[in-house]
Amino acid sequence: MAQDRKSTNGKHDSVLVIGGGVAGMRAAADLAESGLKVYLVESAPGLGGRVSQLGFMFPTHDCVLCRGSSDHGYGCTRPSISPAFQDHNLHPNIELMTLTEVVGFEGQLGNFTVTLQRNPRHVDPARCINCRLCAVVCPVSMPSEFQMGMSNRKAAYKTSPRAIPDAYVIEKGPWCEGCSKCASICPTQAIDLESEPETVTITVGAAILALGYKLFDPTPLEEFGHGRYPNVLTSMQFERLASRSGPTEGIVARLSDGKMPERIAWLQCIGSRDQEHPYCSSVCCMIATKQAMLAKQRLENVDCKVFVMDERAFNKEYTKYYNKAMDTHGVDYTRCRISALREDPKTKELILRYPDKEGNTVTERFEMVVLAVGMQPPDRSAGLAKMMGIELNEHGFCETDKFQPLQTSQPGVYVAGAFQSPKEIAETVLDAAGAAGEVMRVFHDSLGERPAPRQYPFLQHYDTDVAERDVSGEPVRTGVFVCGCGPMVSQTLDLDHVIDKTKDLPGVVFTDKIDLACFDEGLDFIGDIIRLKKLNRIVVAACSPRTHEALFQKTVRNAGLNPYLFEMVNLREHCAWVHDMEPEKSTAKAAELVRMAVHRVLRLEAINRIAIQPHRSALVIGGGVAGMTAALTIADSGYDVTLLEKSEVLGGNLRHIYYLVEGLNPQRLLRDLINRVRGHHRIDVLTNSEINGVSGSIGRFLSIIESPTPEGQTETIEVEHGVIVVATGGREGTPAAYRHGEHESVVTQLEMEDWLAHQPEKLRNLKNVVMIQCVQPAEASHFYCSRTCCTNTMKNAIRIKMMNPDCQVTVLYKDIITYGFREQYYTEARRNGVVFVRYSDEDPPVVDIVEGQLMVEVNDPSLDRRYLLTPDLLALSMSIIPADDTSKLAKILKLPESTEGFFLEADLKMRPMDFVNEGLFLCGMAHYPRFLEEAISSAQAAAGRALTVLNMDPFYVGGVIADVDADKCVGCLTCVRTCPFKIPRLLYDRAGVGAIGGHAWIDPALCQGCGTCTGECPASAIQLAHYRDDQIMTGALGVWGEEADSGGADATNR
Amino acid sequence: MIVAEQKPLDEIMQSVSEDKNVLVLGCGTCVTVCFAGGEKEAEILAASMRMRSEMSDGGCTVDHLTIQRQCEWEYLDSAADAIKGADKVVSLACGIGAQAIIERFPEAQMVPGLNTRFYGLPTKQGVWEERCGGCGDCVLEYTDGICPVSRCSKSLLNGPCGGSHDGLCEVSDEMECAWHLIVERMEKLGHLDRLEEMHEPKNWSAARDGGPGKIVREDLLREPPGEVDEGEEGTGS
Repeated sequence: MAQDRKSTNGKHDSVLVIGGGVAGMRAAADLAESGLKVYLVESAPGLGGRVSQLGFMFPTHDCVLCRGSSDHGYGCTRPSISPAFQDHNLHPNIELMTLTEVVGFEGQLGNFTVTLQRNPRHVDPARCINCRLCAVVCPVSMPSEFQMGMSNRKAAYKTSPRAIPDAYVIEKGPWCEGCSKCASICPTQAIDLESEPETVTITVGAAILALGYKLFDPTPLEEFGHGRYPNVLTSMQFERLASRSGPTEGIVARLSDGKMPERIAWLQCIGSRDQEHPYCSSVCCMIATKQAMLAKQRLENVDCKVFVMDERAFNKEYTKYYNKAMDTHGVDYTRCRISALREDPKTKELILRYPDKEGNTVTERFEMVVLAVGMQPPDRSAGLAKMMGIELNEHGFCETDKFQPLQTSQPGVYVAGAFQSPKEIAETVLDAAGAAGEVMRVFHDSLGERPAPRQYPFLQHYDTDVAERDVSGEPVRTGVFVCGCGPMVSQTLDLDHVIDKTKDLPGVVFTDKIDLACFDEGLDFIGDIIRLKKLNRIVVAACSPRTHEALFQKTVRNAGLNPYLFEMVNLREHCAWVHDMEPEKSTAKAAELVRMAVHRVLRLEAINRIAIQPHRSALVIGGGVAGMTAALTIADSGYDVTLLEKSEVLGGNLRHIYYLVEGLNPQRLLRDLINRVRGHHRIDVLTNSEINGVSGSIGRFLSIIESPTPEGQTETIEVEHGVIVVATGGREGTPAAYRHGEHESVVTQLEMEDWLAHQPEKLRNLKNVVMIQCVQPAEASHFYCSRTCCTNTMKNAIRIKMMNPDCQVTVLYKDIITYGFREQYYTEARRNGVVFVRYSDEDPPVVDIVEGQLMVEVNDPSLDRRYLLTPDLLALSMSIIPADDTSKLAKILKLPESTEGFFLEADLKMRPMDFVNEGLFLCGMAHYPRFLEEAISSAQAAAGRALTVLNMDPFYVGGVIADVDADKCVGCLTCVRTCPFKIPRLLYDRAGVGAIGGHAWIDPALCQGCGTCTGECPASAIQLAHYRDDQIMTGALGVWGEEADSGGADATNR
Repeated sequence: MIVAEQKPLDEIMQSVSEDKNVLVLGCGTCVTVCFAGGEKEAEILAASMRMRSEMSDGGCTVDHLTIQRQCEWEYLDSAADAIKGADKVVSLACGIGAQAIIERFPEAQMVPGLNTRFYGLPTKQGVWEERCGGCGDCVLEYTDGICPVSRCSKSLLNGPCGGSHDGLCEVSDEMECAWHLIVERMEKLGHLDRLEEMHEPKNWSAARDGGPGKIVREDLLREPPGEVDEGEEGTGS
């Protein structure tokens, strides 16, 4: 396409993102923010992917996308992952292509030619006003994919209530008979039923595959009766049933008779961990846990049973969540894989047979059964991979290198999310940000070339900017534009009456009706009138500010006015649509809402965000694999990095890992990373160094670092930087049980790995090895799953069996956590003869020393037998704990910690690499225990997010934020205690009310503008810009036609 | 700090039923911090009173003003015009501030808007608990920092009574037994034996039993001691 341009190094620098789910959206938003052009291609009619179907997320039970990555603002921005995806506020660097398939792909890194087939939507999104008339007249009734076939939709439909693009779509498939009723009724002539698929060709430098996954279809498995028995649902069907936007609006009812179920069973591993799918889908255990808890909340006295082999609750806060399901909600977990079920044809109940805790086979009836279906490679991925020259693994997912986990076999093509391996939202978001970070590194010459800094409440390129008129001192001249929304408002409301009531209000100098204010003609009209009539306050009475505010703010700004001198009134959803049976009263309400807005704008003031010049360099704390990877990604992108390491050498935990379960040698990676870091001209490595204090905020930090001099002294260095990456890692916990330290043959897994690597000859004499999983270390106050230890145990067990097949290896475990493709090593270990014995917390193994011989006694609940093992070697899988001094560092950086003691990110799901404190990012085991490849991708993610900040020049802070009036502040600490972001603090060197020492201060660079402190402050000392008390009161008084004190037509800007 | 809570609106309305011009006077110190009588509470009370008045006869105007501290003449003087101009002043201060108004402006008509409860602290946002009884003879030294005078329902000085159960006081299941806390803490610090130490009887005359308190610090007086015209023999000097 014409706007593609080559950057200085001769590479095409635009990026193709395939897949518009949560991964594609995150990657596209980050790339766009860093100044690169993005084509976001999605085959469905709207963005959101699988995630848009989820009602709630584990473990927070937040609704999904609203907690996304809103760049500035607290609250629901659904359905956008960020303001970059609001329909009328799309990031200018993103070209969104829905209903589009990639049909051709050739070339190499820096120059790929991509052929896209754009299938017709038959509705022009720019002209669709979401009036729903097309769906009303459409005679077709067909199953809704969004509701998993549990309700019907029309052929003219919207994918979800708040879809992006925010428009209807006509599906001209076999269901549609082409009656053209939709085209005839459309009030804006937005429908063209004749449009044909088009083929377009674009040139890009790189591509990110965010294809997602396909849900396993259990219908062919006749033993589960899905499709035949109406009360057997898949987990996604249950998800829709429990969702407020679902077919029953969140009422969990049986499909057979609409009755609320009293007994529900979840059957795990349907399409996972079986012969045909020998991998774990990683998320189903937690989904079942979440759904059982939701069912418990929705239905009184419901009995929830989960049939599971191993409960894989392996991420941050998940162990706590799983315990909560059992202890607080009474969800019952039975260790059993159900292989078949029967239906009672009379009651439609489902009959399961399973062994109870005593081993007796019991038969139980359930009123609903949910099949926890697994993840499969997405449709068409095989063909796409072949076309793009990408290798797939034996399961059909994307093959990647352990040391470059986001890089496919085709240079320049990256992968993110479940297409790489089954994974949950948080990991998917990390992948996406990491892939974006890798692309930024490759195209570092082009970063920031398409700047769209967040100067305004909407997104726009710099070069479209016009000078802002200073209206302070001018008398108020308000223009009121009343939109008829085609027929949607004007057919119900008497707009002439609204205008009559408005035109003599204080400050109003212009009023008019517009047929469609959001169309180009309407926007041009508003802009022209602002200039012609020299308006300085604007009221647009139209539809929802949620969808259209940014559009009008942009129009107001481009006509030379500050965008905050604008107010929107919702005549459509708040008047015409909700009160359509009472047009007169509805018209009266409309007139009053407009009167409120007219009064409110009298007091509005221009708000300008503050531009700061960021320090264009980074501080990375921690020199392990995550820290080094993050430092290299940032440094390769052209920014200076200070890499801080507490110990005397780089490498962290990687120094003690000699082989991976896949067989690779990570020491090669270690050498490579250290050499690259040490040799990099942009990286300043400070070993034996610690951070002592940090001041400043995003863009402008100042750190005080204690570092040794060559002469052996300690010097204090001050470093200025724009961002901080926290990569301080974790370590194996210290054993405090099972006779470690009392007998030389009791070792930790890490100690064992050391001699397996360096003294393998010792193995010859071993006859019996026992490994105990989930050993709680001395440092941890409660148990949490460290997620890597089970696979690590498989690695060492297989190693022992490989070198000494006669050695008996017994693993004592609670749940085996080998998620994703790591499941195959569990299978391999069992095939090699490793014996696995489950133990429970109530009955843990007992280790004794009798005449120098280790004795391990354990009860096997499945056989109800007690084993007495006499190992030559006992290896303990210790939980991983946060690095020493994590708490101390958290205090210095003012960062929160999780219940496990790791750093706590901004949002467990949608922002796993960000902190609430902007400008700080998190990666590696400082976040939570993780595998090497996960540490690398999280480091790339943190670096990518940091690069979006470093590329911003200037950087904008402030805007709609809270401000403390020191003369009123009594220093009561209420704001400090109630701020959800922990931003206000007391400045003791400043004087508050009556010159008493200390008043609250809210950092404008950090304030999120939520208004909590404003509402709480007992001294009324805090005001939120644009929502000051007097502005709210003037608007409110306007309802009764009262003049606000000192407001009025002659009010001027202060 | 001093912790107070607002009187019911009905009671306040009753006390101004005869008046046309009412001033709600907030205080910017202790009662602001405990959400009883600061700028915001004063504004809300005045608005509520205006609404009540509007709903009945509508004959009452209610203004509000908040000064930094009602218990100091100088700060009160900043509100002199408003106080003098009102038929009645509703004081949103503790009992000290409320009395200061009529001491400074004897002609003013004042009614209290708050009930002053205790000296305490916010244990979390929205919860205040009593910590000091102002007894004038502090015993915290002997009780490891936990006050039995204010936190024991009976102000016992020599251990718990028979009403202490599971760490709670028999008065209410939401009330901790102060002596239970003291013993627990002493055990934790490893010096429970200190409870065996003998102490002289507590001087209750420094508390309410000794009549109204008064302190004179001669070193701080601006006139020589002999010329002080009142209270030559101040307590404690």
